[in-house]
Amino acid sequence: MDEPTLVVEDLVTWYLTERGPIHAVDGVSLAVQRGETLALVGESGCGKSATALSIMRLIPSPPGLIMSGRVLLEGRNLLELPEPDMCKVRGGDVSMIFQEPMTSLNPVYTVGFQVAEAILVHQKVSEREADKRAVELLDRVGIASPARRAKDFPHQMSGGMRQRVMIAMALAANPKVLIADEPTTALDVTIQSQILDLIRQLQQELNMGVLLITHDFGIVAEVADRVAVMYAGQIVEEGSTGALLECPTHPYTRGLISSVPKMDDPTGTMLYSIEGASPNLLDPPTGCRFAPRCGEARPECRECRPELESTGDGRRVRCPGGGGRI
Amino acid sequence: MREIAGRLWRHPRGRVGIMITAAVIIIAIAAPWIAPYDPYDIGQRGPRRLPPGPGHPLGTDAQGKDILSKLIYGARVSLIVGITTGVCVTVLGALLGILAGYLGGFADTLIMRICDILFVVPGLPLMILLANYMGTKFYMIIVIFTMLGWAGVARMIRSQVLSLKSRDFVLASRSVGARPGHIMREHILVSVSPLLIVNGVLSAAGVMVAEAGLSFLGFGDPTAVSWGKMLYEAQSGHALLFGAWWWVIPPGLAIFITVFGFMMFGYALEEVLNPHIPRQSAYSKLRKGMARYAGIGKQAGIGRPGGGESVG
Amino acid sequence: MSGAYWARRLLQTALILFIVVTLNFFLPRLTPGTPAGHLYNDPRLSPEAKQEILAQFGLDKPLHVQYAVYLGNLLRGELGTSFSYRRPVSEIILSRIPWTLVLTLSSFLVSVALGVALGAAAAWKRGGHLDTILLSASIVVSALPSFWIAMILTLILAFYWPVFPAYGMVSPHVPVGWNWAFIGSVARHAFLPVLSMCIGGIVGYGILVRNSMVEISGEDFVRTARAKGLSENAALYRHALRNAMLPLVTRIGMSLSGLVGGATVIETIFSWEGMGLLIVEASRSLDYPLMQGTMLIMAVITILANLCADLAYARLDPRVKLK
Repeated sequence: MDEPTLVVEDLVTWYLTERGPIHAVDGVSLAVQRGETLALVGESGCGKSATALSIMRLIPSPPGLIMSGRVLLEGRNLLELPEPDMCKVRGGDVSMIFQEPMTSLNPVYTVGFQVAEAILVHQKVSEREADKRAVELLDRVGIASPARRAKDFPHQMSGGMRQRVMIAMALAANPKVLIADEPTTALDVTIQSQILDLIRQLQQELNMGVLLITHDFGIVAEVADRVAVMYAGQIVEEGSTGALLECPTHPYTRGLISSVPKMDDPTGTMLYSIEGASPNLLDPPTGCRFAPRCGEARPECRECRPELESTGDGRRVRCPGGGGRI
Repeated sequence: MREIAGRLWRHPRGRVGIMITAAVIIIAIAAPWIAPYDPYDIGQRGPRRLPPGPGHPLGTDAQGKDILSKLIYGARVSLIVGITTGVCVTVLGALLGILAGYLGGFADTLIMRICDILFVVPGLPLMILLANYMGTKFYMIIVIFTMLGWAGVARMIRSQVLSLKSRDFVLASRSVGARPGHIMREHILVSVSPLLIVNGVLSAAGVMVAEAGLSFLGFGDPTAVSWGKMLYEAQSGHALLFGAWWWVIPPGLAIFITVFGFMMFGYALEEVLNPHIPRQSAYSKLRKGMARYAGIGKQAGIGRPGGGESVG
Repeated sequence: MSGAYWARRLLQTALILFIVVTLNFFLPRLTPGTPAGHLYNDPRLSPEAKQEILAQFGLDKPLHVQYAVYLGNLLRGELGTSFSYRRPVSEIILSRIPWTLVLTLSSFLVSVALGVALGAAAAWKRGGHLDTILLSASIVVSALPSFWIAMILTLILAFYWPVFPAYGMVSPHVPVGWNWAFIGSVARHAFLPVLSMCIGGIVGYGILVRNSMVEISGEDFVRTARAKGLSENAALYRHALRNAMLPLVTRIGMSLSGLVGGATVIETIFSWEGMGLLIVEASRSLDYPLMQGTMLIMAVITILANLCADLAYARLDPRVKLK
C-alpha cells in the first residue's frame, strides 16, 4: 500500500457560543487510502460531521473556527491553502455528499444544470460539452432516461434519485477522495443498499478513497474496510472492520456493538444501551471522556487524558485499561 | 406573565420600549394636569404665531393655541386610536383567520375573497373615501381602520392555522372527539396568541402613523387635537415657507418617539415570546469573539482563522 | 401554467372587478345628501334649477336605471364628468397619471437597486457594521412618517439651504415640452419628493433582501455549491441571490399597485399634481365622479399589477404549480 491520500493530523475545531467555545473536534487524526473505505462512526453530536466539514473547510464561520492541525492531501496541507486554491480542491480532488438530499439541491435550477456546473468549475469545456457529460454522469449513477431527467427540477425527484444526483455532482471531476456524510440516513432502507452499492462500485471504478460517516454499524459491516470510532470529539478506537467488529477493545465500542440487536438473539433478550449521556462539549471532563459512563473505569481514567495508542496490527485504542480484552 | 415582564425588562430593547410606551401613556392620561394650557378651551388663547419663548416654550399656532399643550393632548388621540384599532384589528383578524383556516370550505373561500378585494383597492384613497362617506369622528376612524386592517392579520393567522391543523396535537384532540370550537379555542388560539400579541402591538404602531397621515391630509377628526392635525396645520399654514420649525418638528418627533417605543416593545416581545429566533446581538458578539480567538491562534503560531467562510 | 388556471383566474378577477365597480356605485348613494347634494342644496336655487342640475348628472332617474347607465358608460370607457373641473374624468386622470409615475417610478427603481445592493452587502457579513446599521435604520425609518421626513427635508434643503424648490413640478415660465430646460426643471422639483419616498424604500427593500439572504445562506444547497468548488462569490450570486429574489418579487408585486396611488401624501406636501393629489382634492371638494373614477382606475391597475407579479413569480420559482 502506498502513502495514504488523505491524512488528518491532530485536527482541532471549535464552535464559539455565547457561553464559550464548544470543542467539537478535539485532536482527531485519521487517514484514508485510495481504493479503501474508512468509516467514521459515532453517535449524533460526537463531531464526525464537524471533522468532515473541517477537511473541506466548509465550517460555517461564525461560529466555527479551525484552531489547529493539518489536513494533508497527497502531502499538501489543505488548511494552509489560500481560498482560490481550496476552491479547486473542493469538488476536484475531494468531494463531499451530504445527508439531506431534499434540501441539498437548489430548487430553482434543473438537475442537469447543477451537475454541469460541477463539471464547469473544474474543467475547461464548453457548456454544451458539460451538459453532455452531465447526462453521462447521471446515467452512470443509475438514473433512468438521463437526458430527460436532466431537465427536471429537484422537487420532481424522489429522495433516492436526488442522492444519486448528488453523487453525480461529486464525481464530476474524478475526485481522489469522496466524503459521504450519512448519505443514506434520510432514505428508505431499500434505497439505502442501492446507494451504498453504487458508492462501492464507483469507488472501485475510480479508485477513490471514501470517508463514510455513519452511526449505523450495519452499514459499517457492509461496506467499510477500516473503522474509526468517535466519541465526544475524539477518536477512541480504530482498526480494520473485521477485527474491530469481532473483538472490540474500547468499552464504548463494545457498548455500541452490543446495542445493535442481533438476529440470532433469543427472544426476550433485553435491549442493551449504554448508560448516561454524552458529555457537554463546552466543558469536557478532564481525563477520559467516556469514564463517567464506563463500566470498567478506574480512578486514573478520570485524572489524565488517555492518548490514542497503537496495539499493533493497525489497531489504535484510546483507553488506559484497553488492549487484550477478549 | 410576571416572568415575561421580567425578561422583557432585561432585554435592552424591551426596556426602552416599555419606558417610552409607559411615558407616553402617562403623559396622555395626565394631560389636564401637566399641560400649561387647555387647547380645547376657547378662552385660553394667546398671541398668534409666536415663535418659542417665555410662556410658550414651543410657540403658538395660527389661532393662538399653545403648541406644547397641543402636543401633550395630542398623545390622547394617537394612543386611543392606535391602541383601540390595534386591539380591534387583531381580534377581528384572528377570529376570521382562525375560522377561515380551520373550517376551510365555504367560510374560507368567502373570507379570503373579501381579503382579496380589500388588498386590491389601494389603502389610503379608500380610507379617504370612507372618511368622506362615514364621517371623521375619531371613533369612525377606528372603525375605518379596523375595516381595512383585519385582512392582513387574517391572512397571516390563516396560514399559521393551516399548518397547525395537520399537527399531531390537533389530530390527537380530534380523535378523542373534541369539538371544533374547543380545538379552535384551546389549541389553535393558544398557539397563535404570541403571534397575535406581537402583531397587535406592531399594528397599533402602524395605525398611529396611518392616523397621522389621514389627519395630515385633513381627513382626521376636525374637533380633536392630534399630532397629524398639527402637521396639517403646519402644511396649510405654510410653515415650510416661513421656516417655522416649531410647528413641524415637535409633532413629528412625538409621532416618531411614540411609534418607535411601541415597535421596540413589539420586537422585544417577539424575541421574548419566541426564544428560537437567534438574537441579532448574538451574532455581533460572535464576530468579536471570533477575532479574539483567531488572534489567540495566530499568536500561538497555529490556528487558521476563517476555516470556512461567512456563507452560512 | 395551464389554460384552465388562467381561465379561472380571469373569472375571479372579473368577479372582483364587478364587486368593486358596484361598490363604487353604491357607496356615495348610501349617505343621504350625496352624490351631488351639496350642489343643489343651496336654498337660493329655484326648484327648476335644482331639477336641471339633477338631470344634468342623471340623478333624477330611478336607481336601477342610474346603475345601468353607469355600467354602460364604464364599458365604453366613460367615467363621467367631474363636478369641479367640468371636464371628463378620464381626461383628467390621463393627464395626471404621468406626473405620479415620474415620482413613483424613480423612487421605485432607486429603492430596489440600492436596497438590493445594501441588503446583499449587509447579509454577507452578518453581524458586521453594515448589518447592524441597516437593522437599526429599518426600525427608525419605519417609525418615521414619510410625510414628516418630507417636511424636514424641505425645511433643510429648501428653506435653510435653498438648494431645491419647495413645491411645484416645474418652475414657471419654462416652456413645456421635451427640451432640456423643462426636463431639468422637473428633475429639480422632483428631487425632494423622490428622496423622501426613497428613504423608506431603500431601507425596506434592504431589510427584505438581507433577511432572505441570511436565511438562504444557511440552506444546505448553498453548502453543496461550495462543496462543488464554487467560490463564495459565485455561491452567493448564483445560488443564494437567485432564491432570495423570490420574496423580493413578491414584495415588488405588492408595491406595484402603489405606483399610481402611493405618493398621495408626498404629492400633497409638494403640490405635485399627480393622482394622489387628485384624490385628495376630489375628496375635499366632494367631487364624486372624480372620486369614483380614480378609485376604479387604481383598482384596475392593482389587479393588473398582481397578475403580473404572479406571472413573474411562477416563472422564477419552478416549485410553484399553478393549478
